[in-house]
Amino acid sequence: MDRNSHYFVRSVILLGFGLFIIKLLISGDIHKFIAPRMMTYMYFALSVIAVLGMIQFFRSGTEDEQSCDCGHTHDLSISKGRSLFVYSLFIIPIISGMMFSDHVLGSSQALNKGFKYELRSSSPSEEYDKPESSSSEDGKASEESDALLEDPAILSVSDRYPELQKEFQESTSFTLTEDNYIGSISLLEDQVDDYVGKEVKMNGFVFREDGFPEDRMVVGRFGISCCVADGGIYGLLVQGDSQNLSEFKNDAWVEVTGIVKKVEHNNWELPLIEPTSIKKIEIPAEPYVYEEFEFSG
Amino acid sequence: MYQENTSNYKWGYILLFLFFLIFIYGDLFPSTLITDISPAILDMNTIFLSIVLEAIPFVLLGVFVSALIQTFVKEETLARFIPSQPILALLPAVTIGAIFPVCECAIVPIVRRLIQKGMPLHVGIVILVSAPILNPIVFLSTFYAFQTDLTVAWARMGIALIVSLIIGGIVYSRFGNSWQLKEEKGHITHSPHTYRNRLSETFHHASDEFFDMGKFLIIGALLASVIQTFMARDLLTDVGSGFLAGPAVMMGLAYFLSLCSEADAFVASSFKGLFSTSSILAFLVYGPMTDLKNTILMAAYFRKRFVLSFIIIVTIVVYTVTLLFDLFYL
Repeated sequence: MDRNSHYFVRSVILLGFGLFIIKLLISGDIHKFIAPRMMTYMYFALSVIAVLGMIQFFRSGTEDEQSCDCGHTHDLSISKGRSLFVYSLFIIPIISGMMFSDHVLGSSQALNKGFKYELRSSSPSEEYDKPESSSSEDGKASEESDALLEDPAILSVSDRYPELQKEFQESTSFTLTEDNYIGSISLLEDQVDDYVGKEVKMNGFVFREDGFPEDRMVVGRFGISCCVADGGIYGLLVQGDSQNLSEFKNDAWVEVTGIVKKVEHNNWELPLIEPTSIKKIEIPAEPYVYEEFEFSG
Repeated sequence: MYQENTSNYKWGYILLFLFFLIFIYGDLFPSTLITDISPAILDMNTIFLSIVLEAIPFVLLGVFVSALIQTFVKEETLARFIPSQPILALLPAVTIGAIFPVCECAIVPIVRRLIQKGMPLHVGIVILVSAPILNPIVFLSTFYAFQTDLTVAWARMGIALIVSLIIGGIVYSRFGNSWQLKEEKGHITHSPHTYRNRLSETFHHASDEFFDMGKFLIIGALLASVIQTFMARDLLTDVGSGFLAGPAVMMGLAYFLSLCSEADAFVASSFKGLFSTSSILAFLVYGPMTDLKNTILMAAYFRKRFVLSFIIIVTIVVYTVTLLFDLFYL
């Protein structure tokens, strides 16, 4: 391939990336890949790609390349087979992205990443909570960390979601929405006792860990901080005889209403919902929930 | 000649047509055809695309900064700011690393360009390993992810600082000022350009480099997504979480997951109960310094032998320093 047709193919590939991002923006599927707070970067990328694409396009029309002796290898003078390979690397994500952008991660990935409870309950690490055994040996640094440990309230879960906590403690029933999902579950995990007996309504997809009894499952959603690759599961155990839980298969989206209870499992106190009603629902338009943290501090 | 030209343009037009076709009708393709073969393929595709999409803005940013350095920074200017005493030179390097809020995808082309412009190798490497961790955004995300345990955020920064200085020292003692980039040293002779020329040159450099680097990013993201999809995390956590095994396991995880340094703290916090604080710190320090995706990016610019020694040095230093930290402070 000569120089100019390389530039032309490259400009088409950049256009393809642009189209891919635009398609994601139009359909809203972008949030199935990237958290909303990363959107500024996506707009930046889209505009840069547009500019670069145009530049490559007009460059392909020029007669000769101005000699630019800048010590980097323009990767152009390579064999046909190799450039086919390189360009297909760029073309594949564009095509697969535009075709399967609405796919949502489900129970198999949840199982893969591991439900937090399972991780915590399987072997509560003693090292993590061990007291400062070596504090006498070292003065300054451990004093500092001691001081931090003495006042854990600086950044406790309830301090992070003060309004949510107030609202939940005052009311007898509450609903988990997209916006308070992560906060609510963190609060529930933090201090189950405060919420036992209250009524909760939540939605999510169903999944089960290996070895769960028949009448137990988890209803949860993926929480994303930057992109889907860093997603983790936020969910609550659902257990009870009143409903036939086995009719809800893994990956089914459900809305659960039930009473918060507390279970003790390997010395961990976990919240659990005893369902009063479960019904199947459609997958919400935004199936993931997003970590919120402000950079302003 | 003319014949050749048109036949190659033809492929461009076919591609263009294909893109528009899929842009409009892509959703109609029944995804059940794929899920019937293996449902995990779509999971993999989603993770792969999300890594690519998340990295693209930062790669573009890195490519642009690199192109700007290429066009506007003179070798002499760079030399003036870096002390000739090699150990002393580490200090401005760490400072630059701390000031530049660049994540690990963006830093590779920038460092390569700086080294090409005459920056000593070890100084460049210190910037490469420190910039993705020592920056305010990463500090804040770690701070938020470990709400109840502020030590993690502070220790992450402290360990990263010490580790990068040690890595710089080792790289200097082993490689001195030898040339470790793939391309030849020297022939950077710029004829004086006009301003307009320089601007278009910057864009040309940037787009060439985007394609040079993009392919490695895509290969890296593909490998990382395969591992994320098919490797259950229990597999690693089963290996062990003891004093010696814990940090090693978490470093392995950090390497293969290839997460962005701004997001890895949230993943790390989900391992809070299972692994010791030092293991989590090993994960948080090691991941941004080197991972699967970055190894492939680095291999694009640096000699293979150097990349290999770099990984070995980083692995040993991070492992040792976190263990020492565990012994003395935790």
